[in-house]
Amino acid sequence: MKKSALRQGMVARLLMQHRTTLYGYIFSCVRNHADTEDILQTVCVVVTESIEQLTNEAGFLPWVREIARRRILAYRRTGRREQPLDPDVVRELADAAERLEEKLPASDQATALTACLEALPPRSRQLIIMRYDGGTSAEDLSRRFGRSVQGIYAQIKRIKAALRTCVERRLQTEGAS
Amino acid sequence: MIPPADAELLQDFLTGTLADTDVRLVEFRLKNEPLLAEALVLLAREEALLTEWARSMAAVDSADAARYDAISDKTSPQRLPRVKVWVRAFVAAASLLALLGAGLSLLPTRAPAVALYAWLEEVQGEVFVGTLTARSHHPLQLGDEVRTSGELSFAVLRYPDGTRLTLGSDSVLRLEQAEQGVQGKRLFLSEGYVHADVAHQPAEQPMILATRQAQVRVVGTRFSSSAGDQGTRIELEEGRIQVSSAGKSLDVQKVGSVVDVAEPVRPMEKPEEIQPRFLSWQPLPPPLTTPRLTLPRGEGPIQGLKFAPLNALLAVGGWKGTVQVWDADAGVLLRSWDTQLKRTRCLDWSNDGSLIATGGDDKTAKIWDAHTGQLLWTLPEAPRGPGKPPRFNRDIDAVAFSPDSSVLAVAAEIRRSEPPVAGDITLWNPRTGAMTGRLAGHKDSILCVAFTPDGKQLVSGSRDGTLRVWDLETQTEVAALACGEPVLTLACSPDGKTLATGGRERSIRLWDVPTRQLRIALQGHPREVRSLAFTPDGKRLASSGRDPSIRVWDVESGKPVAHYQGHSFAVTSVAFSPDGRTLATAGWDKLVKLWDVRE
Repeated sequence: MKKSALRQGMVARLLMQHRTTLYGYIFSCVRNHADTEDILQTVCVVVTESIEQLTNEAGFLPWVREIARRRILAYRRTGRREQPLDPDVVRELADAAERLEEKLPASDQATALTACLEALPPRSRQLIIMRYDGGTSAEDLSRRFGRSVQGIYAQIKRIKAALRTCVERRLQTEGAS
Repeated sequence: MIPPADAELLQDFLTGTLADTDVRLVEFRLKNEPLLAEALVLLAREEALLTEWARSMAAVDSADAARYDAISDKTSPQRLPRVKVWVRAFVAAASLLALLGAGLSLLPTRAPAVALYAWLEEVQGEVFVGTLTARSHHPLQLGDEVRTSGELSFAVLRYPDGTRLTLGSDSVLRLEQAEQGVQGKRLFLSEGYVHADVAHQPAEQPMILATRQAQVRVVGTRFSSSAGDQGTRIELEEGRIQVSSAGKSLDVQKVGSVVDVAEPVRPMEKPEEIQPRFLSWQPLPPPLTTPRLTLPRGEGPIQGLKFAPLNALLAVGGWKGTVQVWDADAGVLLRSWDTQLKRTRCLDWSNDGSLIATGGDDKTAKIWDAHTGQLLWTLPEAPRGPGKPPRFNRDIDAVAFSPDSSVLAVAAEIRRSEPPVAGDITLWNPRTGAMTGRLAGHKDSILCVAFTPDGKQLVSGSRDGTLRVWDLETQTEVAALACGEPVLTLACSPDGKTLATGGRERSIRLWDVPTRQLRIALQGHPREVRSLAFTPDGKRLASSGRDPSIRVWDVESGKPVAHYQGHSFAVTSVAFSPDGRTLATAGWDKLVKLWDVRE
């Protein structure tokens, strides 16, 4: 297999590995899932095309994060957003994402969150699936679960707060063991 | 550990439910509190993980969901597997893996295998999925709309069962959820041409191709269909199809058969019965690119523009909260004042010329003396003594004075992520600041209002996709018309006979007011339509939207008669001067341009 082909394979693996980290950073800046997916897609294309510039695998995440930061600002310049993004906030969040990755890698958060989601009562679990898989409106959820729309929102908030507590406990337990 | 108060604040920040002022406050804190920034990224990661998990579970749990649905709601639609969100983002990288022969062994082992619903096998020219430019291998989900643009464009859609649909140029096809209780593919061809090569479908799960006029039911065959202006044509190449329209059904078996279905003429009163009678893509005249005058660049994007009723004075409102009054003939700023708003969202000038009303993001409407800029009323009026002043529970999206200047209508916004609440319009006496009425009926926020020229009725457009007509004497709703899309802007012709509406789906609709029938649906803007204005003689209509172009249409024929280009971004406002000789336009590039109107 050619050396360049091997590098492309490595890119795909690394992008997959750091997907949550990148998605989280971009989403924290643009606060919209569709925009985040658009930006992430362009980042993937740029990374795939310019992987030869990367000198070592350890530098992958900072390199991709910088590409993402520029794509976020470029996205703002296209005028697709009604509210302009503050470049200082975008940079501050990039720094925060880097610090957070050192303190708590996204893979650890994913493992803990998945375990907590699996432990949810069936009704709560179903509500989260339907709320986050993107295909069910709040009105539909309200109808299916027999609660007011406001009640559904409040319940989702409560479930997420419980999940957060569960994740923190798991991480503390694992950190202590 | 995120403090609960911050967790809630950041959650609202992420979901867009904070007021603009609170957003600015959070952004300020993010720049100065590193731990808060980390907490936000943590919550954003959580959103990503929840979405990914839910989408993977939606397929895995479909059996459980079906059981749950059977218990809780027997009529709920069937749930189909969805495409994982990262498939789209990583399609380029994943295809590299496949090419390398590495297979999917490097994919995370816990990711469940989820089949694609459909995808674009091949595209040529400009092809869009929703608002995204699409390339080959673009995955498709239920609800996606595929649009081809330009003479040489086409797109080939593939389903996993081998069904292949070829979408011709300038066509729009939407992948829809099958009807309740029915499985299978459902597509809606709103315009253009599609050739379908359909793999055999189970008899109880036929593929349905719908157009505005007809529905084709297919079990497995080859046929083509073109749809648009006033009819649908279906040509059978092989096999058998069933064509139905207006309650009648026709079984077509003869190879080479051609079925033409004309646009049915239906009563237009009830929302579900409304069908556009005419859609047009018309060639644009050459653009005019040199305005007579461009006013000095403002401090922020502009979102309100209105000429005084009797002269060439132009009021301009925008994101920085300042109202400016310009002499549009001379290009001289006559006066300006600070509204104390972060952002003026709408503005109107009373017909007697004495008052200007503004609405903004502080959840109040304000009435100003147009000659001095003095604040006359803040609505709702603040009570005397201590206590929090009352406010609308939403930002204000539209204000309008009645033709005799005796009533001000105020519409307010419901923020998108909050639980929907019926939209309200409140009516105020602009001389006393007293509330005189309330019109309730919309199911979502109201984005635009206009009085009819006789002042007897008010028309409102809403995010709920309806246009409602209100009788002001009885303060009751007299008509509700479905537009099938959020109504972002509307304008009433000076003679009161035509109502123009613009919306999210890029079309401009002209309604016949006496009969309340849709007369023409104009198409041409590539993105949503944000502002409309009739010329004083009512013969022309100017339109603008999220794209930088401004178009002027002949109201009678529906043809574009002028085309202006000069702005860099969205054009949020258009207005004609009272003599009809000047068209003022303004938008996100912070500029106001004044164009000479030519015959």
